[in-house]
Amino acid sequence: MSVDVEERLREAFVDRAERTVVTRTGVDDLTSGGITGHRTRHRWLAVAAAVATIVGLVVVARVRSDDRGGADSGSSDTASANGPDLVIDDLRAIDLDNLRGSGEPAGTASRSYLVLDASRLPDGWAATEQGFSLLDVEDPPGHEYIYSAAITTDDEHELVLEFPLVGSPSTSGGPTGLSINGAAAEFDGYGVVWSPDGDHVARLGARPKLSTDDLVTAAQALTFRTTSTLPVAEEASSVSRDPITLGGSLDGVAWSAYVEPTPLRTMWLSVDGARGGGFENTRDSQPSDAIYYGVEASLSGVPNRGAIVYGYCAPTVATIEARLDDGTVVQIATYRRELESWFAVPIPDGVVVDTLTFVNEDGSTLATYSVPPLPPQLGGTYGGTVLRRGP
Amino acid sequence: MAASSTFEELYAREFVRAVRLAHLLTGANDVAEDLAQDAFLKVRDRLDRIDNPGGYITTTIVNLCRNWHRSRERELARTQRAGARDAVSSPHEDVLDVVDRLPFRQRTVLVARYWLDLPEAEIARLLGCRPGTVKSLASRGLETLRKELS
Repeated sequence: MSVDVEERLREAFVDRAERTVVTRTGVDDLTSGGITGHRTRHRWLAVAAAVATIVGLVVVARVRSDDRGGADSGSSDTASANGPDLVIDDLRAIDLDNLRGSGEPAGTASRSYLVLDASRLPDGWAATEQGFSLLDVEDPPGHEYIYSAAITTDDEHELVLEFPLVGSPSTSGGPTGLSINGAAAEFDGYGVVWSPDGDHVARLGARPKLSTDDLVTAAQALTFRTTSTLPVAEEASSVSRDPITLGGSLDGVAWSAYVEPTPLRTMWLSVDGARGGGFENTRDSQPSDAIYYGVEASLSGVPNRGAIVYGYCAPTVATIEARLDDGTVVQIATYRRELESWFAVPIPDGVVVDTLTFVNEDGSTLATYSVPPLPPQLGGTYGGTVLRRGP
Repeated sequence: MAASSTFEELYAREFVRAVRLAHLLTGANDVAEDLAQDAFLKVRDRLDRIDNPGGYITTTIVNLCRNWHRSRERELARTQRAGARDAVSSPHEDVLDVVDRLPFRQRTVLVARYWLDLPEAEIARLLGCRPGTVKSLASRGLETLRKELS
């Protein structure tokens, strides 16, 4: 199997596009009444679609789309000055299981999460996708898990429902005259915003665009439920690829990572190596033969086991220092190659890691990653936090 | 007259690309040209009010393809017949076969990223979702491809 799926995808798209047969040769060949020309029911929505091209989704949390400004500079906050409490230099024995005690015992911090009740949608409606994303937010600095669902309606609209799982911001609270099932609501330029449960603040938008009144009507038709299990974004699957580049234990089960021996910058990660608790994921590969100067970190959750923070960084990074909430510092070696270094830090349930500091071989700090909150039921992959891009 | 000329220029510049985009989003060449035609008919009457006709065409194509998929799914549910596919085989048949079975939003994100080369924020605007959701959709689509092709 070629691992470069992205390249194969590009080639396949180019191939299909080039094979596309186009018979119309000029504007005179355009005729009314094509596939959708006979539809008049929602003709007015074409205007809304035009508006939709320039009106983007106003997000609840602003995403830091670029460099965090180099993260921390200097190394005074790293353990380098005082020395780490624990050094892990065996790349196949990276294990923080024995550090439990700094956080809550595994499995005791269960939460309930609000999600769409897809089984109680109106007739003709369907939830086509549900999932979670992890976003960085600026003010205050931190992370948010965002739940989103796409819902198709019987009149050919797609509703997009989104809300942060925890720590939802409040609505403006000002008088709007809008109400959704008894809750005050407002229109924020893209969709209607309201709290379906008095805790979370949800936003519902539509494509093609709907009027505010129609959005309110649509929102009133939605029902919610709570769950103690965060849906896993990716289905579990088995993976076994030798040789193992990095590995160890996560909450008592084996995890491993394999870095492709190509300039694809791809890592294959598995926990338990099999279905039923195991999972597999890959980074989006980025073929390159250039030295990487930044830090890019992803996060994969294993429900009721913990999570693994993994990724790649500049080849100058020799170690990562994990600072726990009780002040313990663990120094973990990276897998260094000519063009980049690879890392993976398993964080079992019951261990709270506040930050991961990327330390160059000369002792200086390249960047610091603030580890997001890790709910015990966290599943799925949340990728691509860029801490630093350039030299 | 000027508007007509502009529309002709837009047609000359964008029509083939629009058909190709619709082809990638539907997997059906015969449908693609009709969808592209519908998109251009929509833009023709309001060209003077549109700042970015190329972007408008792209958005309209995506919306029309989404509607086409929904209609087709309903039709397939009724008739239980095979879906529309290209008649001509491709050396990339295995990849395209998986792409054709992806949920519409995952497929659109992959086409937008790897064929249109749109940045994440632009794809988010196209789909009306957050950039983080685009990342998640792309990840899920690529993961499916990797699993199916392995």
